[in-house]
Amino acid sequence: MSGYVVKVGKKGELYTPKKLRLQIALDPGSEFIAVVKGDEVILRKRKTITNLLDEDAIATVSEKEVKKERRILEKELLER
Amino acid sequence: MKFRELYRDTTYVMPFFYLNIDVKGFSRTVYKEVIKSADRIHFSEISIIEAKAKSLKIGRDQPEINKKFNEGLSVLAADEKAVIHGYRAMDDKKFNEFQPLGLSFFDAVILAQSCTVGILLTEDSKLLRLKDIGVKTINWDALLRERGIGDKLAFS
Repeated sequence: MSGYVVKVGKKGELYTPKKLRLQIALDPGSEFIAVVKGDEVILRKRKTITNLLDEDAIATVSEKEVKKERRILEKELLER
Repeated sequence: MKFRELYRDTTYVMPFFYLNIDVKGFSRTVYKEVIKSADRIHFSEISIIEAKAKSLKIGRDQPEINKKFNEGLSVLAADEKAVIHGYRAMDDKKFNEFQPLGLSFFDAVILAQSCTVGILLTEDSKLLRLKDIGVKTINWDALLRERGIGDKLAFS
């Protein structure tokens, strides 16, 4: 596990080394969840809706299947 | 033309749950740019249920999708850019107005809910033919053309 030195600014800003920013694709506006465990602070990147689109899909759904699924759900709901 | 706010039919909710869609010219990369340029994206809670039903079926062969669906839903719920619409009295009023159009139940609910936003992204041919109903319906192809995104980007 590689470690980086992150300095703290006057107003509490965290200054990250460029290598770290590139390694974890840190863009301006990125958000993290900070988890404090004793004297350790774990920063977990907070996913956004656009991050979801960066990841590979598991399966493909056709427009026909979306419509078919809709008809099935409607039938179950309305003919109950 | 940029769409700062856009309501999405179920097809366009699927990609948030690790599902690809087979819409001609659709790419996750362009979709990401479309979302980045918007202030907010809107969709119905019904679309979440529809996506869940579909992922349940896929989960019979690919069980990892169940965990991924939950992760997608957590991100959607936490992201301020995403607005999940429940069914309200004003939606119901619009739903009743749309009854003569002969739409299917969920199509009518989603169309009614999209009225507050004014524009619905859909691939449903029946919804795309509708005119002068208080909401504009467009498909992916029209969205790219109106945004001035060329074919090169669309197919990248």
